[in-house]
Formats: sequence, C-alpha cells, structure tokens
Amino acid sequence: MKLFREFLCDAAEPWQLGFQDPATPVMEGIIELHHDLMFILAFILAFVMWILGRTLYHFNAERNPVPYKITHGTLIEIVWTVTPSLILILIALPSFALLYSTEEMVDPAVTLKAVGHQWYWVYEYSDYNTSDDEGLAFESYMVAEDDLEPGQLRLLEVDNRVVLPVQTHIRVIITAADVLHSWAIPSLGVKCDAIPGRLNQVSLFIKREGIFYGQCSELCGVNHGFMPIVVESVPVDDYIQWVTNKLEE
Amino acid sequence: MVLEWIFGKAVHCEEEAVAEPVEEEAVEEAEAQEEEAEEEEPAVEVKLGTTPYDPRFTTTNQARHCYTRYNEFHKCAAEKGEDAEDCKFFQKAYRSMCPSIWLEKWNEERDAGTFAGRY
Repeated sequence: MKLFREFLCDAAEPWQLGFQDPATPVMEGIIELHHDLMFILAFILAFVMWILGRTLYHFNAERNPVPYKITHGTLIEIVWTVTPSLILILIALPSFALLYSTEEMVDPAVTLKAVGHQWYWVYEYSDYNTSDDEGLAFESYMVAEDDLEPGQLRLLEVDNRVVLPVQTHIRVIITAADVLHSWAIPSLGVKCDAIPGRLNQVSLFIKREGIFYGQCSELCGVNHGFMPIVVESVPVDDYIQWVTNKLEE
Repeated sequence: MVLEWIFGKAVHCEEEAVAEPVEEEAVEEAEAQEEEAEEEEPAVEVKLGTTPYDPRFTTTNQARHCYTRYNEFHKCAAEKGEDAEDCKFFQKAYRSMCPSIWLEKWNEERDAGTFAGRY
C-alpha cells in the first residue's frame, strides 16, 4: 500500500523538498522555469561570494594600511548596472511566456465548475444538463480519519472524486459560495482563488491518467485544512461512461 | 475525432473488416440496425462539448461571460420562442458557464419580475 501511495498517487510525500511529478504542460513549464532560475541564482550566488571573499582577503587593514582614494569608475559602474538588467530580462522573457501560456484557453471540450463552500467543494458538470436546476453535480467531502480504508491518504482522500478525461482541453470555472477558498493541485500546476461573485477560469490539459491530490489553499475558516481536492483522470471513453452512469443515477 | 467519440465505433470497424464483400448491402443494413440498437442502449447519450472560447471575454473572470450568455438566451427566447433551435446554443452556453446557485437566483428574480436584465 505504501508502494501504491508513493508510485501511483500524485500527492505530497513526507519530507518532500522538490516538486510533485507534473501531469500538465503548465506544471512542466513551471518546473522548467524553476530549474532555469535556480541555475542563474546559483551562478549569481557563487559570483558574488567570490567577489566578496576576494575583496575581504585582499583589501583589509593589514594588507592595505593606506586605503585607495578612488570614488568613481565609469566603466565598472556601467558594467554592474547593465549586467543585472540583462539578467533580469533573461529571467523575465521565459517567465512571461509561461505566465501567458497558463492563461491560454484552447477550445475546451469539458467545463467543470468547482464551487467552494465552508468546508467542502461542490462540483458541477453542466455540459449535459437538460434543465436549469437538474444536472450532474455533487459534493466532495474529506474522508474522516476513522473512516479511512487501508492505503487511503489521511486528510487528502475525499468521498466523491472529480473525474476528468485525459488528453482533453478542460475549462475549470472556480468560484465560492461563502468565503474565499482556493482550488489547488500541485501536479496539475493549478492554484486559483475561489471568490464569491467571480468565476475564475483556468484551463487544464492532463497528459496522463492518475489521481491528483490537492488542498484548499486560501484560509477559509476552522476546517480550511479539511477540504481536500482529488482529481482522477481517466481515458475519454471511461469519462463518458462515468458521466452516463452519473446522469442515470 | 475524439470529441465525437461514441462507444462501439471501434467494434464496428472490426466488423466491417471481417464482413464478406458479397453481402455488402445486407451487412450495411445489419450495421445500421446495430448502431440504432447501441445508441438506444444508454438512456442519455453523452457527447463531449462545451461553451466555446469567446473572444469577448478574455479575462480570467468569466462572470460576465455567464451573465451575457444568460441574457442572450432570454433575448433569443423572447424573440424566437423558448424552444427555438437558434436559442439552444445560448442555453447550453449559459448552463455550462454559470454556477447553479446563480441561475437559481436569477430565475427566481425573473419569476418575481425583479431581474436587472432587459428580457
């Protein structure tokens, strides 16, 4: 069961330091950007430490009793102004590209509505509705610790999971009915605040089948930590079958 | 392709390949019947499809998208009748975009005559 949890489920692990495995192009992009930034960061850190060390070593009172009297150096000042700007531009370009790609809405095939409540999520699949008030909607509550089956994740498992098709463009509309919540799943690279009166839209393209765990990420009251999110991505046929079964219920 | 996927299509393709070419017409008829039977099987036929991207609403906040589609439907319904084929698109669109609690509230307001929209 431990193996199952660690290899098949996309949830946080004890003492985890890195990212969870990505399942969407957006999350892949986020991880890539992070790694690129870490390279630049490490380079700058090493360079600054080197300069600092050298300065302290060579230019202290013992080695240089008579201080230099230089106050200006046009060339060095241009260099230390222009170089950081270039580095910032180098960081900004891929960062903006990623930012705008997360906003991109590519011709969606499924719309999922996630409505935050104190303290559970309500999911609506209204593409198949035949009237305004009847439709495919359900509540998703956390499974209490006493009710957990072996292998289920504590504080992360829910009674009704969100089922979504893989390799399909999905629109998620996120809103709240009472206070602020936030619908977040690390593996899918999604974190979007649920705000009453607003319908926040994010797009999803899940690349592989799996079970993805997330949690409410905006402080919303006493049970804020007990309203997790679970997305199960399945092949398109299975998704259609699931929707058909749900509608027939 | 994937969007128009109805179950059983793959099965049909295989059957087609196996069928003898001499009885083409008979096979086609049988297939047509089979298709009908299979389509009737589930009480509801689920087809993937939702409100398309609308360049009028490019922001993250799609509240206006939902509200506009709701009003567009009621405008259409007022002009062409509630069940007009032309209005179906707007109806599907607002149902996909709007949370049911919003629709409930607006429908109540419409019934009470206090809805802010024109139609």
